[in-house]
Amino acid sequence: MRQKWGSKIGIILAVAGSAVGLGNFLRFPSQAAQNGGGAFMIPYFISLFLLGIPLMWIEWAIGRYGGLFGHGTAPLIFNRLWKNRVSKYFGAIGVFGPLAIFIYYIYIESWLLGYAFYSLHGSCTHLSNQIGAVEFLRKYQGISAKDIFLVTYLFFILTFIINFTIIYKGIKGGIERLCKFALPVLFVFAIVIAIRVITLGAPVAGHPDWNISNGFGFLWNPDFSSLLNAKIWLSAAGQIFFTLSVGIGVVITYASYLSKGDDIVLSGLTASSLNEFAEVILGGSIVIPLAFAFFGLNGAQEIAQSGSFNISFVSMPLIFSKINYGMVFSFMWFFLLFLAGLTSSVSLLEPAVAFLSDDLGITRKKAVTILGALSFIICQFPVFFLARGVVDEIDFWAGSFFLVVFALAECVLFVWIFGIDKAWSEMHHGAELRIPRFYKFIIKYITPSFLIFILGFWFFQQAVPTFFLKGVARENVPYIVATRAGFALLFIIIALLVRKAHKKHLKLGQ
Amino acid sequence: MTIAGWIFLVISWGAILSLAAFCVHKALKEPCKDLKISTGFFVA
Repeated sequence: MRQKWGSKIGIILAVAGSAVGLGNFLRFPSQAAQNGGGAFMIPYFISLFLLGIPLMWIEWAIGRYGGLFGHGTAPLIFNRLWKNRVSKYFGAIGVFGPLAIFIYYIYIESWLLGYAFYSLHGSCTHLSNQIGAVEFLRKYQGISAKDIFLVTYLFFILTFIINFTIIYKGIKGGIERLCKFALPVLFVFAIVIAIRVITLGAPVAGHPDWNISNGFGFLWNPDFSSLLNAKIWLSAAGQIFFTLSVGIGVVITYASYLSKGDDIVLSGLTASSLNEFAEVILGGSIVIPLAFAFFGLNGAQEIAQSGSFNISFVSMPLIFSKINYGMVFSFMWFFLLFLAGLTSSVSLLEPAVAFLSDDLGITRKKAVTILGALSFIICQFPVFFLARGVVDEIDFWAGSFFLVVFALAECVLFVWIFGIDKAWSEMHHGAELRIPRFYKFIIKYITPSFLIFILGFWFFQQAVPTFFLKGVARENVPYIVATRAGFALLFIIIALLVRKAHKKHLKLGQ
Repeated sequence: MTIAGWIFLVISWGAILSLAAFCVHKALKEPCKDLKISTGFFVA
């Protein structure tokens, strides 16, 4: 008997929890500030309605459809949609991708827990300048010194144990219970910090123009000329794609635990809107306005361009060190990011667990134990070879490129091969809301075209140079090649297991 | 912040808050198939 969600709000919070991650609070504001401010919201909302929400509905529908046949992951569900020998191997990306992302994601997540601890301890909130903040981060990562690396490793193990304990407890007792606690806490912490930010005024004496209102202006004042730039549209589409956690395979697995009569139209829309609330309203009210108020226009521009890691682990501790009760706000900031990371990382594990238990017939507890032992060994690579570019390499292939490939595959399979009319009717089973009919056209033509455009652009702009190791330091090349070989081996093992699972189901006549 | 900036902020926040409030309100209610409510964009 497959597990089921305990309540409608449980599954909505779980999918929202999977979608709300570090990108909502760190990537969105820096993308918006760099790409036309308020004008960025035009391609952003267009991408949400033409790409994000349709893909969300497609994944919910595919997942629930597969769950009715006892499948919880993409390989055998894709085979149900298209009886062709290759379809299940496209589906294998939906097991491989989340597992590969989990390998490095959990390590970054453990830093957030570590920084939450160091916020209360005071070590990362008594920093006087950026050099000190960078040095603290490098020490924490074990790059410049090893004196606190043992603590880093202990937080990694603690985070690892928390993740596997939740997964071990199952869908209702583990993931659903976590999300019912974590999402409200995360929202409350973010709202408290946002209110503190909005009420800061002009905190630096002698710089009255460095204020929160101008900080919001830096993020929201529209630059309409940027709309003529294709890069802005692509950035907006990429942001929507990543923020909703589509193309990973997680939503398919979560939706497979639904019943036939559950309303997926409303649930998908609710999870998307909660994610947008966290991203645009909360995420947009913290980092950039704060950076502007403390460092002015030039400082905010530098911070926006410095990337998510620097914003989170360098700029924010430095800003909190200048605020009254900074220790408390810093703790809330890192703990909310940790919760956002935790609800995402458990979702990344679930497809592999579901595959082992549903399709290979291993009990859930045994599947979690096997996966725990295997992933703990593989996780050591990003932990010990971070400085060698291992994390960036896995992030590009598993966390960016394959996501778009998988999304395109599921979209084409469901809409073109399974058929738009059957897909449309599948989406509406048990739905209280009707999707407007023009979405039939969008889902059939616009969404896949959008994905082909993104994939084509990335292939030439990023994948080709990344594949040929352009810009990689010579001494890091062996590590990058070893990482690729290791992950290629992992994909082959998963593909062989998919073949075995398919044969097993054929034998059983399913 | 310019007036145009405020307009973009208010419209974006308003759209997201309205959608989230509508969806959460409906999701928290028990589904009632007989109820016909016109909600503009989506029709129940």
